[in-house]
Amino acid sequence: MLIRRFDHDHARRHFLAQTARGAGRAGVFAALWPTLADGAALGQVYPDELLDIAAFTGGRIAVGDVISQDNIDLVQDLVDPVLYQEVKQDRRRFFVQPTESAIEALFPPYFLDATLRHQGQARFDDIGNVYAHDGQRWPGGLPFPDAGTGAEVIANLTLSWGRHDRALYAFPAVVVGADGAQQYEYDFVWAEQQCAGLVHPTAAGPYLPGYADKLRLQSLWFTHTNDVKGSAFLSLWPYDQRQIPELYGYLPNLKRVRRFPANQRFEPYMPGLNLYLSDAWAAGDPMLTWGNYRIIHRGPYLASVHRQWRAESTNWAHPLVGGAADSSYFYVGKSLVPEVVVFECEPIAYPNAPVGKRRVYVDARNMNVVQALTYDREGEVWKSFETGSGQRLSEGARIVTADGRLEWSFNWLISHDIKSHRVTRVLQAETCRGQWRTALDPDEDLVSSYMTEQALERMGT
Amino acid sequence: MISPATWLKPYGIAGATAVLNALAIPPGAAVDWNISGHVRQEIAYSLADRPNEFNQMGNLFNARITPHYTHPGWGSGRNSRAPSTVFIDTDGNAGFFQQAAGGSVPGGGPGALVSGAGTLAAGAYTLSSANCRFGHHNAIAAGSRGLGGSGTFRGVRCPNGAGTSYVPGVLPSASGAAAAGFSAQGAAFDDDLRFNLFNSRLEVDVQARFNSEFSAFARLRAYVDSTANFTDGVIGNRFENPYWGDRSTLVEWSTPSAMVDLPALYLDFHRGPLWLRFGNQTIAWGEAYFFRVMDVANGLDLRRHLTLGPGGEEFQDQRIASPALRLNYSFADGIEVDAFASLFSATVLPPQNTAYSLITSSITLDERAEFDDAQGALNFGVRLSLPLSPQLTVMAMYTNRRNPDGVFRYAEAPQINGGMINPLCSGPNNAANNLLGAFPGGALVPGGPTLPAGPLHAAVRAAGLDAMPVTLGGSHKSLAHCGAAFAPDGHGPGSTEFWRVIGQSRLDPMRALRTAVDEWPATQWAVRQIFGFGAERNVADVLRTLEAFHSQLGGFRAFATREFKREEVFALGANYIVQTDDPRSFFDSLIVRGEVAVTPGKAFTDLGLSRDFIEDTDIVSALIIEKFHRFSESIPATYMVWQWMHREASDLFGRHLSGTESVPFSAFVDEVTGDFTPAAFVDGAAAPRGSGSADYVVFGFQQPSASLIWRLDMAVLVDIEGGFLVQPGLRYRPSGDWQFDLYANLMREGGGYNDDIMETLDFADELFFRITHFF
Repeated sequence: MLIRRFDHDHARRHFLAQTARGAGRAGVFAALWPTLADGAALGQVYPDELLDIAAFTGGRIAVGDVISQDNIDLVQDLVDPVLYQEVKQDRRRFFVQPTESAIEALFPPYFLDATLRHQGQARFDDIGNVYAHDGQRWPGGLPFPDAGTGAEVIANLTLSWGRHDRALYAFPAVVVGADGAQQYEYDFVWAEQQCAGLVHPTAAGPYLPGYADKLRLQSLWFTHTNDVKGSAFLSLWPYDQRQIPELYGYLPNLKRVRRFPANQRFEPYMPGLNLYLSDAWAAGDPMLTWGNYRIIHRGPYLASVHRQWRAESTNWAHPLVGGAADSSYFYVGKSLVPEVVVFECEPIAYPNAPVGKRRVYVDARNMNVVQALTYDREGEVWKSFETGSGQRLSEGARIVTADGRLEWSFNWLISHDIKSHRVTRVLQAETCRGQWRTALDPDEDLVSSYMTEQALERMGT
Repeated sequence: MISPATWLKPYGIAGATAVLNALAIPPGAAVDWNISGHVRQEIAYSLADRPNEFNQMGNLFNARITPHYTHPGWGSGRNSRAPSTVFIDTDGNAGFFQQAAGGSVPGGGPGALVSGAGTLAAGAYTLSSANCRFGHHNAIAAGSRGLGGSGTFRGVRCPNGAGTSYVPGVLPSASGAAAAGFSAQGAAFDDDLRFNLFNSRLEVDVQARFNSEFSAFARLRAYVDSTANFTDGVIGNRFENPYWGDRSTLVEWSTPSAMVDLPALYLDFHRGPLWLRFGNQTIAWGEAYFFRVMDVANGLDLRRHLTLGPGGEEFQDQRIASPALRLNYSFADGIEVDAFASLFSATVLPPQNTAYSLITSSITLDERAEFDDAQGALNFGVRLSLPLSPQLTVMAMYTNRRNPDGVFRYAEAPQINGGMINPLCSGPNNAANNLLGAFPGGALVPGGPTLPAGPLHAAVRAAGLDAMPVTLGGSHKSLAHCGAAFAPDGHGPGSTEFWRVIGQSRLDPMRALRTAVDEWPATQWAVRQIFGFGAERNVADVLRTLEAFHSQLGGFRAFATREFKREEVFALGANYIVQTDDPRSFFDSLIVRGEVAVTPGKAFTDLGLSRDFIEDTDIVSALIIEKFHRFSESIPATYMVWQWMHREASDLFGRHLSGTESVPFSAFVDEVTGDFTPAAFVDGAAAPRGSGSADYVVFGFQQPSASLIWRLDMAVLVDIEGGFLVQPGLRYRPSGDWQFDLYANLMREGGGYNDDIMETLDFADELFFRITHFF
């Protein structure tokens, strides 16, 4: 007979205590990050019931089961209120995956290398910006892998969005209405280039030459539908997180690039889309333009954090499920994440922002956002920002880095506007209209190709 | 997925390989074609209380038989006896008829009204008491053989027996009858055009990416104008112009009611900071919206909806693409150099006799020869953009171009117009010359000087005057060899109408008439040297000449053209984003833009439509303030823009400011007695007062709904001289496939007389609706 060292409620009590203190590090038996960094297994950090859904549910739910409105109540404590509502009331379903226990499976390899390499070097200055111990901009990887405060968690999310030095994401996006009918369809390309924190071995150093005061450059351009095709926007992010990024845009009607004020970050990119500038990676705004970061919860959670890449499907598409036409949501797998850090924050630099607060769910193991709930000014949930991510590993297909290790990226997001019951699905696809292809750390000068005013105009129509 | 090798197959393997090599495309590589587009129905319903009077169907004078103010039967008759300016050439010779009145022509002598070489009563040759629309045609129908029986100068006969029925050679005794004032023939032209637009559009975009460096884009636009189905009035050719054959732009196929063109057809190449674009393309520079300061690379195509589409779309559908090579280089520090060389392409004007025509139907625009002169010319320009700080960017621009908007002047009239021989042209049909050849002897007109029977050509030479010029068309490039800018036309304007339309065009009626006579040798010879009419210096002179012509010719129309002069435009611009410590401040994230363009020695249309264009330094500047401001938590930020444009030499339509503030006709003719006022005899009193500068202000906003599915637009354009345009609009985008737009253009002029731009446009009040399906 196996005698447990701790009873079933030990983890719950531990998380409650951690949350109540308002600080503390991830892990139940041991601090998560140094333990994993030392090569230890998750089992040395978390009890069995946090690593096995069957153990957690007393055998009522097992890996491979489909969670639907019939059994969602069994795992209600493991999901957020929006996901619960989608399953319970909107026929969304998902299947249960085994918990991923290898830390390597939760990071892009080079980003993990940098996280380990720079462990313990991050400091906040008096303002709240993050610098290395030598006073330089953060050189890459997670600055606070063992984040104990909300400020540290948001810094992890903000300083590197996609966890690659540069990336191109081809995004077909679909908006589904309350009746289950597709209302809008847009294709757009999202490009990122880190200016600080370069981690790829081919980078000459951690900083992109010529951008000494910048954190990143980011652009997006629409390739479909016809009326928005050619619309393109470029954000230049200062490293100082008090400053709002410079925003340039090309609108086909105007035929030229214009400077736009960038302090209005709570409007959809395009009609019908739930996506705002502020939403990106749940950290779409400079982190010091939000405030009152506070951890409100730690505990297990069901999230899509591995095996989310469907290379075998056309254009990496997921099956659809749920909603009035049973096609509102991606049909995806979720696994038991032993610990998510849930923090809340409020916009402080945006007068009349429609957002009261944002609640962000972060996987404590890799500090990646798995869900973000936006609340309106009345305190009601307004919309979600749910992500799926994982290694580039599928049935018979894989994408590896130059040194042969498996690549990792996020794979999809779902934003559900609860008020209008409009669901926006965005797939990180192999390609989108215009022959744009997703590429992680492509061997291409993204800056000159896509992140200048010239580039916006060139890609415009 | 289409392999390039597939679509290059017809050109042979070698050719395909060569092309692919040039594009650096591996022969096996696939090219994805991204094809999308939309179909749209565009409907605009006129809300104006009067039609566009530039059109035949809206001409205010269609049914009106207007009086001739210099006719002895008008008013007290004082006008007809008023002295007018007499022609004296540089050798001191008066006109032939004047010399006859002075006794200098053997066998000639004075008449009651023309009693000496130095006197010419204003009404001496005004034989008809009214301008009878279609009088010319009626005279022909009445069997007139014209003055001297030559078949020209047929005179005037009012329709339906109304007005005067003076027809030389037929009923000379009927001269002087009163006008009834109404022309049923003219009234038949009256109609309205309630649908300014009822047009269908198809646009198809084709994008191709060959590799990371090469891509291509093409847009096909097909447009069908169905407005003619909603009126019985005269509708002009809506799309064809004699620029490139019958095409208005190079890459276009058109019919009078439909067009298909390729507003974009180009190949892009970029490598690192270098970008080259080659092909048919548009280039938009500048900071201001709608106000064109630095935006000088392309002309505008005004054939579809003038510039009255949604303000937020600016000139998206109007900019004319030109074959061009564009080179852009971005330096690492954000400095950008942008340069182009493009084939000249003229601004395409709204066609005459269509809803938005801005040129009176009584003028014929014939630009073929002048466009031929500019055809093939290259425009080129360069712009330097220099970010000085994250907040401040400055720009400098130089462009050397043939001005696509052109400058207007008279053009040579044809030898035959509307099936009628033009008696003003020099040559065998010249009426004055034929009159001299077959002069019957005696007085040409009642009270006129007497002359012996013809031929009188030798007598003209003996009087020190020229023989009829053998004109080759003067210095202009027309091949009509007419030597005159007028031709007979039953629809031609009377003197009152002439005054009105010339003023509306921001021209000087006196100079316009004087130029039409003096710059055109056949006209100059007949009017000045034979009849002895002196250069028009005041209103009495103008009416004398006009009404004498109308009396004897009936209606005539003028011919005009545009020349496309080369010019250099220098411009500076900047934008600055205001940042404050208080995010609640209204000034936070305010964007301030400014730009100023200077065109030294720019050619403007002469106020008399002379070939000697006005040359002036055009200074155009704009200040723009933009702001996104969130007024409430429940709706997205409101986009607001304020703009101020200041112009030193021209108005918003590019017309020289010396032509503004015309003097109304009522200043020269007493409205009670009909007699000339003293001002009618003051030299230059009819000249426009002009303006020292022009200023325009724009305020606009866009307010989307929370999901952006609805958007409320508002744009207001105010001419500081008076007058405004208000454009409210609503856009509804219920799905990805459909969009509905409902807008209105509401205009009011400022109440002055030809002093604000709205007077030119205020016929265009309308409600317009668009329904678009995207695919």
